[in-house]
Amino acid sequence: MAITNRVRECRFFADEMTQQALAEAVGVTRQTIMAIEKNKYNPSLEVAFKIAHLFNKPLEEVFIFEASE
Amino acid sequence: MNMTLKEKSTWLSLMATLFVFGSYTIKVCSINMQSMSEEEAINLAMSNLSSAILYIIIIEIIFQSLIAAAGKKIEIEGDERDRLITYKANNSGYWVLSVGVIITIGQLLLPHVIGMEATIKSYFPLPLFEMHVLLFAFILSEIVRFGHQIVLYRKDAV
Repeated sequence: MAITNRVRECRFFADEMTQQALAEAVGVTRQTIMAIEKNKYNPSLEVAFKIAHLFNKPLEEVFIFEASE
Repeated sequence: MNMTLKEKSTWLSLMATLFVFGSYTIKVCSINMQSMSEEEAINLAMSNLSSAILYIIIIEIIFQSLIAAAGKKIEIEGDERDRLITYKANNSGYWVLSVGVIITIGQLLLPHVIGMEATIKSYFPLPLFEMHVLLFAFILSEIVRFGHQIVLYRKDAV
């Protein structure tokens, strides 16, 4: 997948925030957070921005786009 | 098992459809058209269909309410991933339904257009044949839709 993320890492540095707490904060289910962390699902821009905003980081620091040749 | 409320609800709908309409399909296919008049066969099929519809409504209302009662608002409404999975699965179900509609149209048109008498109906005699082809296509499309939804949920699960 061309887009990877550091959501798991961000949760770790946010006092081991739980997946459930993050899910509730951004308005998705815990299973969606799990799928995002496993790079199996790319969230919408809105959810991506909400996650980055929650961790006080710019979007490109949490979600990384790797352009393929 | 780690399931969202929407996935549990999809499992319930799949099982209810398989059980209720599966049973209906077996009953209708086992009607012996030679041993009774067409009118009797239609009445028997309609009586079975009414029961099946009633059962599916009751099962869905009771069990979906029980599942929803245990969930939070976001889980009941579903999030963006739930919606994406639903759209993809609806697309699969749509194709199955389309094939059923095309077969029914073919069944109705072929004898008139090219004078072809040996249609599917002669091989599978059922009361209200065209209605049943459409109904079976609808049931199959629902099974494909729920099945595809579950596959997509499981692919993203732990």
